[in-house]
Amino acid sequence: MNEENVKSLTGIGLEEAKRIAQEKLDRGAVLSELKSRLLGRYFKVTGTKGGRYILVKEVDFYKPELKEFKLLGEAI
Amino acid sequence: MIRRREVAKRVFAYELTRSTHVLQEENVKYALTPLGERVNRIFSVSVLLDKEEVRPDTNLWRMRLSDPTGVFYAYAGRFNSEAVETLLDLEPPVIVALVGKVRVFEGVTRKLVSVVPENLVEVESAVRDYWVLETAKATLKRIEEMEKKEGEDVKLAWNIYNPNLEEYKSVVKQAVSLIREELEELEKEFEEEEEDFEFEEEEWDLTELLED
Repeated sequence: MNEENVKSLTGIGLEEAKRIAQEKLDRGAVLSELKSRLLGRYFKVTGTKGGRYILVKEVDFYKPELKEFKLLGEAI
Repeated sequence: MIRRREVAKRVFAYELTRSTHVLQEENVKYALTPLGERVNRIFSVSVLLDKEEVRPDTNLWRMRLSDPTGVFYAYAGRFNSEAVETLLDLEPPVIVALVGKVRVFEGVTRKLVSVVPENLVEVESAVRDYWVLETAKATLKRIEEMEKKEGEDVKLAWNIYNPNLEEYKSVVKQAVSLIREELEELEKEFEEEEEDFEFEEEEWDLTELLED
């Protein structure tokens, strides 16, 4: 993911990252901030597939739709 | 030797807490679930119901967690400092996502299954919703494999647990319909809010003010 992707997901770009690091006086602060916004989430990703990675073109949080639950519920 | 990191399996609390049989392969331990899945690590999105320090000043914390199918426990201590740090800031009840290792503890009368979190983070309800959907699908797939009665782990699971598959199916079904109902409720509330808004607008149109 490039800076633009990270910024659109988390609101943290290079400038914000610098500000957070300066305010908290901690280089780890940016990483923990990013983790709290990204870890455990589901994403919808488009891009180029590599071996064990994807070069991301577009990425966004994934939100399931009601109909997916309806379909699965009926299938059981 | 390079070993690939063990994939975190998606397992509901109902299946997890019944996974008391331990398998060992080289140096990796797995819990075998009643549906024939080997789990070393799990990924769960559940509600943190409460947290409690096991004994004062030990910095060992017990978390009680709940998903739509049941309750399980996770223990985080000094070897999971990042998870503990997150935990200290959390005010239950909150929805959390956690990745952790499964531990089977041999108690005096019975075996207890718990999780040792490696990562812990507060998440939005949409994450929980999708986790339930994904875990439901994974569980149904395991049920299908159990029905075929093929494969070493599946046969072992039949031998050890002899599970009632219909029971597992109905647990999955209940979990899916619970989230479905919540989403429908939300949709309804959203529609009602929109109606309320229109109503307020009409009130502003009262002519009393103009008559003054």
